[in-house]
Amino acid sequence: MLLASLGLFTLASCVDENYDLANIDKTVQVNVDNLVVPLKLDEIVLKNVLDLKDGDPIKIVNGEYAVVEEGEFSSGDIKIDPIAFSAPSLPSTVTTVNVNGGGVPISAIPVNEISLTVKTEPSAFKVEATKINDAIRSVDRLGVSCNFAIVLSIPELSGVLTKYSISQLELLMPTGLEVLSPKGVYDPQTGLFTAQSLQSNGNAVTVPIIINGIKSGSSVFTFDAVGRTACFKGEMAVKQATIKLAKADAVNQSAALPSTLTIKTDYSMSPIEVKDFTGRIKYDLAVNNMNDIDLSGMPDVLTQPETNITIGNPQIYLNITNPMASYGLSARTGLTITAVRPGEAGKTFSLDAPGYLTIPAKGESNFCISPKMPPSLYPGFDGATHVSFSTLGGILAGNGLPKALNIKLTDPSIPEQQVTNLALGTNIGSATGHYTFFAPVTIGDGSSIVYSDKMDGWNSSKLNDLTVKKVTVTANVTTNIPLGVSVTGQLINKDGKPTGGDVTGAVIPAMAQNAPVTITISGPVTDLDGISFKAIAKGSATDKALTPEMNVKLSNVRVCVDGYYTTTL
Amino acid sequence: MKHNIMKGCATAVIALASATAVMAQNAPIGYFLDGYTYRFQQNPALANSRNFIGMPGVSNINLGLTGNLHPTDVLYNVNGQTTTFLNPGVSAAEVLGKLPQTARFDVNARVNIFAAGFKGLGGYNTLSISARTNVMTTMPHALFSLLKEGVANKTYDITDFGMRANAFAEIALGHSQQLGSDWRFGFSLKGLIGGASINARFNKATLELGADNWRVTSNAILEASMKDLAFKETVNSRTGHKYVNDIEKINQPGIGGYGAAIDLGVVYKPSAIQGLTVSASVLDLGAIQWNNLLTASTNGDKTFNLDRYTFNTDDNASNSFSNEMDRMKDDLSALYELENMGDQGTKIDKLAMTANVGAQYEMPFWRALSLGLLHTARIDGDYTSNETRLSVNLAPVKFFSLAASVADGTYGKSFGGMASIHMPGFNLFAGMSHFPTKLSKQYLPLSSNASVNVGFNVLF
Repeated sequence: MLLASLGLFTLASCVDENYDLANIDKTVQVNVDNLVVPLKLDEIVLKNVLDLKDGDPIKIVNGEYAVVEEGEFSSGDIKIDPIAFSAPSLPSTVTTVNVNGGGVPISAIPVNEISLTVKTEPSAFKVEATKINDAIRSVDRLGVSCNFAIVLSIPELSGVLTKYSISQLELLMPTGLEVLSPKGVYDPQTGLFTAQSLQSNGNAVTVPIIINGIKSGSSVFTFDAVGRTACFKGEMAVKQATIKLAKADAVNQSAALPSTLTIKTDYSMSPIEVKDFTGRIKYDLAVNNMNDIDLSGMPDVLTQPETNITIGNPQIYLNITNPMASYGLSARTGLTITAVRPGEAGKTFSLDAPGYLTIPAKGESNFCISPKMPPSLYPGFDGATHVSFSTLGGILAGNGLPKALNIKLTDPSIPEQQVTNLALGTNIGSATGHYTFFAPVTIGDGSSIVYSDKMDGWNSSKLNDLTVKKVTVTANVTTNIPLGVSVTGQLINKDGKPTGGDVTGAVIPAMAQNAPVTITISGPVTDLDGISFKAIAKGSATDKALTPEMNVKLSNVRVCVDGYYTTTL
Repeated sequence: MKHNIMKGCATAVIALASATAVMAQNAPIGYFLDGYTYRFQQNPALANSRNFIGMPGVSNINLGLTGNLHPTDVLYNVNGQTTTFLNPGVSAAEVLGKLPQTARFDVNARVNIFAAGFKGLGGYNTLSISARTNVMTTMPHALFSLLKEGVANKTYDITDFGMRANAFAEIALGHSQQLGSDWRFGFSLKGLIGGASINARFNKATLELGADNWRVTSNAILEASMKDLAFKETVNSRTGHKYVNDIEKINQPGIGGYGAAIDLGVVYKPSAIQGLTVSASVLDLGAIQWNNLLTASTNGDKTFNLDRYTFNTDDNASNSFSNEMDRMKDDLSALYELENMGDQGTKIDKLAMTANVGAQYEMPFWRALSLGLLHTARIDGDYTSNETRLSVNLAPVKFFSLAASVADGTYGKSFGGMASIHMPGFNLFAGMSHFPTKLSKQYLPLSSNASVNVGFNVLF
């Protein structure tokens, strides 16, 4: 029966050579004919695009994106070396006087007391201090510690009188000193030290004097600001003294009183230790370098060479403690910030004229350094004084973002000014502080962020079979991002070469409101492996910083695809 | 999953087809052929002139393919090589212009296991036991449009995509009786024993690919009746949805249902018009009640709307691209994941009823030559078809007759032919109601309309 059936088939039919079922070309093509795919997209929120991680330079401060870097700094200890004077050496002098009535037994002297008026020859001294600290620009007064003693002795009276007295002593000393003595009074104007009554101990009278200060402005003390030397010189002499010899003080009334007495004057002065000074000072502070602000961790979207960003109102906050405040001294410092790019000379920006900020004579001071005073200050810097730095907004400008920002305090110093009783040789303290670089991400007008990238590796045997003739994406865009964005691109094949036409037309205006946008990918596109694209974001004339909640809303998204898929089954 | 169900269905259908063997339930080419023993199966009023007994298994074999989707509609020659209609070298206009609105492809088989006919009871009586199998598929034009023209922003209605198959045994007792000189009536009472039935269809399947929204709706159902048949289920690990992914193998064939049917026929041979015979019949008026009706369905309309999905560029968002794509996949899976609705008990399927109206006229100049015109309507819901056939019949001698015909109908134009040798003790017939006019190099028909009818019987 089967044979009969087959026989009927073959007898009643003819073979069509066009149909060879053993050799079928299994190539199939499925077309996509300008197919419109309607899509709904949630708003694209900036925080999802800028995926920040801990440690990134960009942080969220007060709900805004900002580059924030904090650090500390300090100066070395402030200490001015003491001025050292060696102990002055004054030669002794000897003076003889004739005793009226001398040469007879004391009991025979008709008066009970003999007065002798004496004076001595001057004895000069001079001491110098060298290598005086540069900080001392001039000296009005030195606070010193110096013990001085004058000893008047009459050897001939030894064994004759048990004591004698001196009255109306006028000791000629250098002027301008500050002297303390229990024995008398010193007149710094005349240099006279006057003692009314002095009692000998044995045959000598000692006059102790403490010198506490030396005032400048006289020939006694001179300061050479250029040679960094100081000189203290002068003369000592007994200008006048009355020696009184009393019969009652005789050891033996029958002994004779010498007819001539020798009066020896000895000077003894300790080294002069200068404890403080009053005058003008200028002190250069050495401040440790601040850490660089590392920008290498910026999001990829901001780091490409063609990116050129001017930021709106970056701010550098300083908090500084002035260690010289207790002396009423202000300080000052300049500040520079340098954009560091590998292989390029750093581009340095400085404060506006006068190029420095003045740190008042108070404990802590806050400063806000920026192109303009921000409406609110960074937390922790309340009451900060604004310092104008009009060029700071350009710190990131250039061919790509800098790798780092280097902030330096330049020429920090105690500017020359009058100081009173500034301690020498002691550690006064150091200038300390902390800083915050705070730059709200406000992309200024004329700025451009250029981001190029390539996404590839899409190629697969299935994708190889796809030919795209044209893809058109249309949408309406509403955004509150103050950046206009344009995107161009090129589809690439598995050899990394362009395939098809350009990706064109993706232009989103800044702050767009329901703006129509069309992106066209022209074909034919074959061997698709990925896409290379360049997105350029242009800043606008706004001082609005980017915030995490800024977004782009795409509505009426329609993707129109025209192409075909060819494969072999 | 879907693949497993289809494989399971295909296995069951093949099993059914194998169990019976043939179909083309009848051979219309033989309707007017003198000596064709089985005309009574097309019109129970048509009686044989002799008694017969069929050779078991080969007494009457009908194998048939019918359809309006031909191999030449899907196979083309491009640059000297055979290829498919999806080849880019074949234009969409050429392909779609040839395809009908609803493409159909049916396989029918009918094998008489036993048949006998004899005169008696004042008429002619028949007894036959047959195995019958029908496999019917429909495919909408939109499906081909989607594949060939490409996906576009249109609405595609593929509701007409379906398949139905059944197999049953038929025990028929027929009798025809002459009434008067002009009229002859006949009937056949049939008892039906169901083997298996499978019906897979979309109640609704549309793809509305609009520019503003895409909406896909499906309402699919799979019904299967066969003893010891069961669905296998699995669970979608993402959605937790339990669905049918396979059909258990048949452990042992059994009876899937019972039914009954009747054939009625009439022949009018007016004495006033010599040589004219008019006849009509209605076949398979009846139904089968299928038991163990396993049903899987989408449980109503399942709808996918693209505008339900809003994508977010944030990878951590609940509606990130990845998550939303997963949601889409989940929702799309619901379109084709069929739930096991369990055993729905019984279902009564009407048989595909066939109506024949024929007229034959013997040429007065040569009575051995006659012309016959037969219109056949097969009424079967979505699978309804009709055909009108003009036959030239020749019986030059008493023991040999042959017929040739042309036909036009739902499945297109065709021609056929048949020959019968019939003499006492011997009857052999062979014919084709639809010649496959073209064959592939491998001698496979390039038309979906091809049928073979052969049989060997003993006449006495």
